[in-house]
Amino acid sequence: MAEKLKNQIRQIRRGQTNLTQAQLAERVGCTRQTIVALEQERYNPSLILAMKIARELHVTLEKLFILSE
Amino acid sequence: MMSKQMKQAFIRMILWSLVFVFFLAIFLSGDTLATWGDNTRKTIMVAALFLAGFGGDIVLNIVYRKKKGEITKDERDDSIEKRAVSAGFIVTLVYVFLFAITLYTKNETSGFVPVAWLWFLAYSLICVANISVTAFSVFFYRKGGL
Repeated sequence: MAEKLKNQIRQIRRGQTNLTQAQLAERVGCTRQTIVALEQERYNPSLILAMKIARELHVTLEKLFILSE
Repeated sequence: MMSKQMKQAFIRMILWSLVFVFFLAIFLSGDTLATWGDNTRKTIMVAALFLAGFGGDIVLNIVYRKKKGEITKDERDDSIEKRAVSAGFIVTLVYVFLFAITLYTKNETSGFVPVAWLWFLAYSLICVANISVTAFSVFFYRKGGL
């Protein structure tokens, strides 16, 4: 069965920070469209981008990304 | 909202589709194929058309150039670009293969191929490659991520 990478980016960004998608994108060095694609779980980020997002949202990678079947 | 990269791919797809349509209109009208070598007017028209195509690419790069501090491209754009180029390469490969085989099949009995078809292949190849790569880019952008 194919495994899918789910994430909590939207929930954590809205719940724990006041960052907009554009602000988060600027901080991690990607486009706003990439944050949109990530939040809609239509794009799997590189490890570097994932770690940058986790750092900006002040959470661990394990909390931010979940591997589900 | 479309990203700058997607907009650029979309406009390039339209641009090269127009170039292709006008190219077909010039090349396949009248007796162009039979008299290609002597038809200076049409040769110049086709050359001008392709200059317009490549010129449009240059203009787009200038219009959509990165402004200071602006992030216009990231790893997702690179990923989409790579996949679009790979898919476009396959389409171009299939096009050249089918074109060559069709030419052979059509002219097998005579044993001669009108040389103008080689010019047609050379020019159309540029259009097919550009259209397929940009169309796949737009498709992958619309699909979301990768």
